[in-house]
Amino acid sequence: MENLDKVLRVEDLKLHFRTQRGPVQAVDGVSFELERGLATVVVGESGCGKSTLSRAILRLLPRNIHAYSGKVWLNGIDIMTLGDEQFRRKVRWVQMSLVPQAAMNSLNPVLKVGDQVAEPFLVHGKAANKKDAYDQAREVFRLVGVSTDFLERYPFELSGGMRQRAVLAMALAINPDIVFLDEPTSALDVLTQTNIMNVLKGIKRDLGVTFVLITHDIATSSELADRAAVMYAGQLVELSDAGHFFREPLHPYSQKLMASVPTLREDKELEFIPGQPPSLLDPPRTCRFAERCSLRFGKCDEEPPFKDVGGDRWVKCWLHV
Amino acid sequence: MTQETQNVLLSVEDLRTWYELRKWGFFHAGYVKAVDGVTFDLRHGQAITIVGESGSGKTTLAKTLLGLVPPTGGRMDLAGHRYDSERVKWLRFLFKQSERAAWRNKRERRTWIRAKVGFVQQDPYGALAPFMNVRKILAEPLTIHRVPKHDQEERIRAVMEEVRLTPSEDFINKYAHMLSGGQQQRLVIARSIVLEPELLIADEPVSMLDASVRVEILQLLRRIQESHDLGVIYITHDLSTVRYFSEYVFVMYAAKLVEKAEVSELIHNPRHPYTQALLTAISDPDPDNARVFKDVPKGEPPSLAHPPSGCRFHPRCKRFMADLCDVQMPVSFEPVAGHQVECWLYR
Ligand SMILES: Nc1ncnc2c1ncn2[C@@H]1O[C@H](COP(=O)(O)OP(=O)(O)OP(=O)(O)O)[C@@H](O)[C@H]1O
Ligand SMILES: Nc1ncnc2c1ncn2[C@@H]1O[C@H](COP(=O)(O)OP(=O)(O)OP(=O)(O)O)[C@@H](O)[C@H]1O
Ligand code: SF4
Ligand SMILES: [Mg+2]
Ligand SMILES: [Mg+2]
Repeated sequence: MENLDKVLRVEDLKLHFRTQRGPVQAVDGVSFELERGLATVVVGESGCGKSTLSRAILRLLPRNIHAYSGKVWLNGIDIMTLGDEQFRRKVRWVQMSLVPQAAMNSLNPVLKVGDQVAEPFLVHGKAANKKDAYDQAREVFRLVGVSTDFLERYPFELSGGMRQRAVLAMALAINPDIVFLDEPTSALDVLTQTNIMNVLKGIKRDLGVTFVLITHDIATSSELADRAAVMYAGQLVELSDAGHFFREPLHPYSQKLMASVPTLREDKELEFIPGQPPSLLDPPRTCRFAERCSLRFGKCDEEPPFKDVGGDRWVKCWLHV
Repeated sequence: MTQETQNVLLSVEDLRTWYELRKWGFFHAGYVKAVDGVTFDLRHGQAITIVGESGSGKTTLAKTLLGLVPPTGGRMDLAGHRYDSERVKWLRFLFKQSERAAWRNKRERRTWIRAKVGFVQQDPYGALAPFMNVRKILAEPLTIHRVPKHDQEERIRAVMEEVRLTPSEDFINKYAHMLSGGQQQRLVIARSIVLEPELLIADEPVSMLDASVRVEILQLLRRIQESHDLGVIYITHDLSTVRYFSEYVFVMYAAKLVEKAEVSELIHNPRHPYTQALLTAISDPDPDNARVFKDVPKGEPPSLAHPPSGCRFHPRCKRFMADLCDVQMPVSFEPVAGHQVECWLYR
């Protein structure tokens, strides 16, 4: 019965976009599991496919799809086989929700914030009437630390931090099992960022929500992480528990990435990674990091497997096979 | 003049830059006080960092120093030339008398400042014209400053070498969109130093870049600063990058420099309650962070159109003293030599 605490299982997920210059392999064979109640952070450089991964899991797809395949089990049910209508009714926002990148600017400017947060309750039949929906909205507002006075306001009357909390409130409204947060704090100032991380920690502890936090900011990611996943050129290259990951990452890319993070208190030599990630139009058939890897050897000309190396760690590197 | 003052490249005193707010595009409706009483000196060859949150006035300060926005009050001396708000008024007066004369003055002033001060602006993607290749982008400032054509090529190759856009043949005919983010930013830096300025203002030069490239650009700026003995003002919202770049740091909050100190002194002995909160808030990557709730002030930075009375941090400050902090604007105190703080706790 080990599957019970695995709230989500993803196997060989692919999402390729059709473009004029050929298919962009934005997510290319990603497999992982999420443990219920734990927060997983997904880190990686701009363009490596982090947002696309969340969209592929939530089936929020653009029109230019070239390939979309793989298996996704949510609470033991294969949701890739569900029809779109079923998916909308049973999965998205109900069991899994997403705070998209730059979401705080996507609130409807002509609707009061309260109406927008109350809407999911009505749409998904969790509230009998508008008043009931508003009462429930008030509840989630308290949860994310926004004064309920703000329900009556319009988005432009709220600061960036407050808007971000309102969007978070919408994602939490129906009490989903999993909430994906795509760069939820990157446009906010440091103190507001910290306050929102405090809110997320509280929600994780009190409600047991499973968070997936997508970010390029490794230092901030450590604020919530129980587990960390590193993405490179459309693939996961490492997945570890946070304790091991932040102290001794295994994949050469994770190691370099970590060495490039400035630290305030510790006086360490910073390093950078020469070169650039490969194009996703025609990624090399070698290890995708090989070109930039200082530890490259003969075997790296072939693609390494994403392998369980024991102790709840997976690594995609020939050094760890 | 003492040795010390002779060595000053830029001296700024009580500088204010207010944007006028207009109702219906016409009636005066108050000011956004984006820079409000900023004082500091920068020596030749010195690198300082100004760290502050979004909207605290950093870009406005940079633009004022560059002569792109006129100051409302105060004065600044750059390499022996004074520019103050009086002079602006005088210019405005002239403007009414003879539009062309004033325009020429303004233009001359800007051209002069351009040659003295290099600028790396905040948005690297917006900074480069899409229809120009690398050679054109680097030649433009040289042409404006009448550097003869036959000297231009050599100068262009030299700066490309310096920012490591090498081998230069590979890059010189490329357009900006063909370069990666890091390469674009190196190009922007190359352009900012092509006229061999004495001062470089870099406004968030790395905030749009990935961590893996960020370090490379910061190290590049540092190398250029040292090899040319260049004065540099590095503007950032990210305190954790500061120690890799400069010796001295100013903390900006709501249009004012609330604390000025050496980097390690600031990090280990922050005095201003705002700086203290900032340091608490910033995490180093550490798995233990996930287990603690951080004690940081609630609320948001104040509106610059209606800043709080007294100390601008007082509504969020844990150590706020009633009848003082909310009434009187704190003046600058120096609890230890070389460490200045605008907070009543140090009176
Ligand atoms: N609809 C689309 N059509 C074609 N290409 C796309 C589309 N959406 C994304 N891409 C490409 O897919 C790749 C992955 O994009 P994605 O937005 O997932 O990256 P990311 O890791 O979230 O980056 P960032 O940190 O900048 O948000 C990029 O190369 C991007 O240009
Ligand atoms: N041209 C303008 N007219 C009116 N107000 C302005 C103008 N430019 C900036 N402001 C306001 O002045 C304040 C300071 O802006 P500024 O861009 O200097 O901040 P900043 O510290 O550079 O912020 P960021 O980190 O977001 O770049 C802000 O409140 C901004 O809205
Ligand atoms: S002056 Fe007062 S309110 Fe301002 S930071 Fe110091 S103690 Fe706090
Ligand atoms: Mg993204
Ligand atoms: Mg700015």
